[in-house]
Formats: sequence, structure tokens, C-alpha cells
Amino acid sequence: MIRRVVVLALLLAGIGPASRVAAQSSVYGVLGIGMPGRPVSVRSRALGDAVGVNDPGSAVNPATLGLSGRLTVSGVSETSNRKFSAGDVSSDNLRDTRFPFAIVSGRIQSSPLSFGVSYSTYTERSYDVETTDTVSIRGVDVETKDRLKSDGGIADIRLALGWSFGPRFQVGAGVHILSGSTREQLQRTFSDPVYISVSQRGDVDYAGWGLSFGVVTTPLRILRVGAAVRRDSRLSVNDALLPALEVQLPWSVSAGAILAPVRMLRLSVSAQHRSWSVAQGDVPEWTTLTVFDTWELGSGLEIGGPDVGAGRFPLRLGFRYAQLPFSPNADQPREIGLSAGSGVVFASSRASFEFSLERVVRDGGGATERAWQLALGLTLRP
Amino acid sequence: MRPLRLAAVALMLWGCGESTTAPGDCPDYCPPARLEVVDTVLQGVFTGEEWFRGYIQPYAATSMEVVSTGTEAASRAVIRFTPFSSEITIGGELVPVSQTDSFRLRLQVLRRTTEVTDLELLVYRLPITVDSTSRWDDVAPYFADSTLLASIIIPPDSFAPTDSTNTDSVSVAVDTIGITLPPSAFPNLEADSFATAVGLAVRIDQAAYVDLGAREGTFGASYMAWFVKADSSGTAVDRTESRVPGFDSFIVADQPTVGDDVLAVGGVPSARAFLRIDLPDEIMKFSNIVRADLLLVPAAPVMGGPGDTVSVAVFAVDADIGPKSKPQALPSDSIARGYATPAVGSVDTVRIDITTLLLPMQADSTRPRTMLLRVIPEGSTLGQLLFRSSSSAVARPALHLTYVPFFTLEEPLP
Repeated sequence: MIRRVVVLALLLAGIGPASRVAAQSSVYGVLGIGMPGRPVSVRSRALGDAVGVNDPGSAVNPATLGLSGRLTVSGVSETSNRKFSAGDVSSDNLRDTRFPFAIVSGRIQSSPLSFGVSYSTYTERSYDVETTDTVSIRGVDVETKDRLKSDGGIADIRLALGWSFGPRFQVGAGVHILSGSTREQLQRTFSDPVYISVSQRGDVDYAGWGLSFGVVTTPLRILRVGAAVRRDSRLSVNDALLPALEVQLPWSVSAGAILAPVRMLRLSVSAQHRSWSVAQGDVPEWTTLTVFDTWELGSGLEIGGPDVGAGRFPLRLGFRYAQLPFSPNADQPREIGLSAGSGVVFASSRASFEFSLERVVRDGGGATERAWQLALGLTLRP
Repeated sequence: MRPLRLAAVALMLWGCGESTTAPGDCPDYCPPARLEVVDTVLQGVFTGEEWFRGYIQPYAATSMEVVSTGTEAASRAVIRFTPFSSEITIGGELVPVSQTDSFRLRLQVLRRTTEVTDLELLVYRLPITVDSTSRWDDVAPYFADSTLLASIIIPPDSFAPTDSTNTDSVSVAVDTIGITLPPSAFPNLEADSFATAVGLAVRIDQAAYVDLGAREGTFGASYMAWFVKADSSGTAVDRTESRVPGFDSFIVADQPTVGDDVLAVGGVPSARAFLRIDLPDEIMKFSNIVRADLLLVPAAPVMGGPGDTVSVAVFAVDADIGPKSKPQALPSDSIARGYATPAVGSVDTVRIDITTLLLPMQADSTRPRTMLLRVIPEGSTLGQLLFRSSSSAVARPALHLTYVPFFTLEEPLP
């Protein structure tokens, strides 16, 4: 048992040097307040996020906590390898590793009340961009090389409670603390060494909050339906060099269903709408940044698995379509993900290891991006 | 379990080596705020300017600059050697000197006007009373034909000099002159307690100069050798005694007076100028300085040895305690910063890169924002620069500044 857990921990924590909690995940992360994160488990990722709103291992719907039984601790590591092209530039073989999601949940003794504390990435503002230019200084053209680097993002810490009215109906509510910072670094070097290189570092802090409510119902033995709504506050952005800024964060509405027509087969679908465009009013007029509302649609197919007593390894397949909220022009970016995954339960069902491999295609807004994303999850039920 | 281990190793290898740096497609896919380079010339940012003279006296200088007469800044070198002894040691016993055979004067030439071919260095006999109080007029009578001991032609490059009066008496190593003087060179040697003193001047149809090593320098001072005979048990024995200078200096003709709206740097004795810089907070606190040049406009042509250059350097100070403020060492840098080397006679604006001086001031607001100007080497050159100060009506000191205002990524949020 111990050896297995050690090996799995190695898988989770040892993938790459992972010197940062977050790293650049997308070329679109440069825009706005960053690339939105996904507060879902590895199982949900393998199923195209389709079960997130009905998954007690995800942090989309607090009502799913009512489905929790034993104390559960789980964490997710995600490694990506991607390439992109934007305008005249392109880059490939960009690799990074992140820890985007973790959750602790469980029932409070024998009461119908369950709790959940989770960490997830709300948005990620990690990037490392190099640019070259020529500027005229003292009447002479001087080549410059800039490196603009940002590490970090906004974390979403959810404190939630779920209430189970029985096996058919659960409700829940959560408080979200949005907190985080980005460490930003600028370096400029000049081709003429008489000009001293510029280097500047600084931290930008973010703070906000949110509330979420949700329900889950299982009207039929073969059908589960869930829905959640979330309201986020204005996000305050504190930069030591500027007056405080505020950005309105969106409403989010999610719904999904899981259908099990036969014992070893589960179909799932979900949809989520987020009103990101409410932030458009906080965008300075001189910038061309456009903010769009987003739709995210997911569908998944899960075959077998120990949960349904059909084999040791479930097969999970997923399809996900999502719009991205920020664009440098009027063309809204979107992404399509095809995913597959599985998992294994061991140690008398006290631990499980799951993985998903996702092929992501993003385009729009003048850029295209392709990525392989490998997510690994370890869940312990002590 | 083996497949799981293999998967762990494979996945670790797959994830190894984070690589996140990517080119940016600006402006669409770059952080929205842009870097701005500001290049400006700031007037009136220097306050509390002052200058003081007397830091290095010519007798304490590391070299002696001898400039031909007829120029704006003529000078002569004077050297008094420590006395010889009337007795020398032979076989452990003191034996009186019975006869003077000759003297030999060795001089070290450090620099000279290179464009001339008839530069003549003249050696005169001076009274041994010459000292630091001696002025130009005091010693002028001794620079006469009656006291001329020797002369030597200084070539423009590596030495192959000839003595215009006696070719056989001159031998020269690289940049070293050896001049043999007859026994009669110092007729009052015994009356002068066996002390000797010489004066050195330059004679040429045009303006020129020679820099000679001094006893405070590291390149070798002059010395005087005395070739004598002494009676050792009835046999005349040859012996040589040598003496280094007990005093050496160079004496300058009167220098022009300096106006009230002028800052003097260099000269004899050396002068230092102090500038105190007062830059706005938006630059000192909220920008990255990438280059800063101090612009100084000469109020008069650069003075000094004809054909020479004068190195003027700017230093930060540890503490601003007025004229006694000590200069810090120039920061090491692969780029020549902190000094300029204008030619003598130039009236062009002197531009000195002070970037590496301003950066520490910017990083630490408690550092004194005072800069000290002095010539290098200090005190051993007639080189003097007279700059217009901020009290001047025109052409005041200025700062040519290139800086990048602090960058922020958050301006165009969301």
C-alpha cells in the first residue's frame, strides 16, 4: 500500500521540475485577467467536464458535497505540451506543469451535512514573452529585446456545505475567496551596451469573493441532474505603482445530467454560461481588448469501472467546447478538447489514481494553439 | 505494479524541463502596457555647485609636468637630492672622498608631446635652498645659460635621443634618460654639505611638454649618482654613490584667475568641483535609468601641456562633508564610463557618462546625491578645465538622460 502511494505521489509531484505552482498554459493567458481555470477532477476532465456539476470530486456545484460519504482528499497535477502561432510568430514544444485543483470533503459525522474545502485556479496569468524591437535613442536606432514574465494567477478557495435530503435530492452553498498574486518581471536589454539593461520586478495582488448555490437531484435511478449558480464580486487589483483597479467578475450558471441507460454505461452532458462581458465597462477605451460572455459545453462517455462493478479500469471519453472570454479583436477565441482517461482503485478502495489525456485545439482572435494536456489525480479516503 | 512504475518514469521524462518562454506577437498577444524610452536633456538639476583648490600640491604629485615657456601654462621641474657623504666605506672603514670624477643624473620620462622632433630638455644647477615655497620668480634667475649643465633632445616616440652638447655623455634606456655631468657641475658641493639640486626646463620653438617621474610616483623617480675616487691604503679606488630626491616638484607660472560663475577642475595645486543633483521623483523613484550623461560647457579652452589631453572624472562620494568629501572608486564596467578626456585647447562640450553613479543613488535614497569632479592623475598635470556653473547666464551644466518609466502590466485591465 505504502509503496503504491509513494509511486503515485511521485507521479503527481515529480513530473518535471515544477518549480512554479503555475506556469504559462496558453497564449490566451496574456489577455485580460488571464486564462480561466477548470475547478474539476481528473475524472471530469477525462469526460470533457461533462460531470463537473454532478461530481462531488469537483468544485462546480456545492450541492454535490451532499453526495459525499467518507472523508476524501484529492489533488490534481497537469502537465501540458503545446505550440501556438499568433500573427507572425510561432513557438512549439512549450512545456509546463501546474497543480490546478485540490479538494478535501466529507460528511460531518452521521449528519446529512457535508463540507468541502477546495482550491482551484480561477484565472491564470502566467506567461513568459520575449519580444524584439528597434527604438530610436539620441537619433540612433537601437535594437531592444524585452522579456515580460508573469508568474501566478487568481486562486479560488471555496468553503462549502452540502445538505442531503436523502438519496434523491441535495442542496449546497459555497463561499469563494478569490485571492492571489502575480510576480511580474520585466527585462529589457539594448544592443548598444552603453545603455544599461532594465530589470524590474513587482507583485500585483488580487482579491475578491463569490457565492455559489446548487442542487442535485436523482429523479430516476438512471438519471442525475444538477444545476448551480455562482455570483462573483468585483475583483480588486492592487499594484503598488497604480491606484487600485476593480474589474467586475461574471455570473456563472451551470447545468448537467448523467444518464446510465445500462449498468456499465454512463453518458453525461453539461453546459455553463458565464457573463464575462460585464467586465467590458472596466476596459480602458484606448485598448482593443474585447470581453465576451462564454459558453462551455461538455459531453462524456464512461464505460465500466469498479463503481458499477464492471471491470477494474473504467474507460472515459470526453468532448468539450468552450469559448474564451478575452480577445484582442472582435473574434472570440474558442477551444475544443478531446479527452480520454481511466483510473484505478486500490488499497481496499481507500485510494485511487486517475489520469486523463486531452488534446486541445484553440483558435480565434488571431491565434491558434494546440496542446496535449496530461492530468493526474490521486485521491485518498482515509 | 511494474507498469505503474514504468508509467511514472515515462511521465517524469515527458514532463522534464519546463519551457515557457515564447515570442510575443505584439500588440495583440503581448502584455498590454508598452515600454517607453524617454530621452531628455534636463537643465537646472544641479544645485549647490562649488569648487576648491589645494588637494594635491605639486611636490606631492606622482609626476612633474614641464611645459615650454611662451605658452599659457609654462612650468619647470625642480629636484633637490639628499646629500652625499664626504666619506665612503671601503673594507669596513670610512675613507674620505679624494676626487670627484663625474655625476650622472637619471630621469624617467613618462609622457611628452609626440608631434615634435626638436623637443629639448635642459638641466640647470639650482641652489639647494629650493623647496615647496619657491615660486616661479624665485627660481627664474637660475634657469640661465650660466647654470646650464646639459641638454638632451627628447624624440617623439621611443628613445634614441642625442645630447646636443656631448653625444658621448648620454645613454638612454626606454623612456629613461641618463645624463653624465662633469665634476664642475656642482662647484659648491662641499659648501652645500654635498647636496645637489637641479632644475629642468623645456626649450623648443613651439609649445610642448614633458612629464617626468616623481618620487611619489610608481614609475620611477630620478636619482643622482656621484662617481668618486677614494684613497684605500695608498691606492685610488673608484666608488659610486647614489641619492634619490629629498624634494621634487614643478613650479608653474601664474595661472589665470577663475571667475565667479565658473567651476575649476584640475590645475596646480589641484582643484575639485562638486555638483549636487536634484532629479524629480518620477525619475528617481519610478523609472529605470539606462543612460545619463553629464554635459559641461568649458568657459575657456582646456588648459594643459600643448598637445596633451586632460582626463576629468566624476566620482560619487561616501558622505557629503563639503570639500573634504572623499571620492568613491569608479564602478567597474565593461564600458568606459565616468570620465572624459578632452584635448588641451578644446572648447567643446564635455560629455561624461555618469549612469553608474546615478543608479546607486536611485536604489538608495540615503546616498548623497553629490558628485565630485577631478582630473586624473590629480596634481601632476597643469591640465585644468574651467566649466560654466549653474550661476552662469548661459551654457549651464545639464544632464542628458535616457530612462524607462516604471512598467506596469495592469493599465489596460481586465
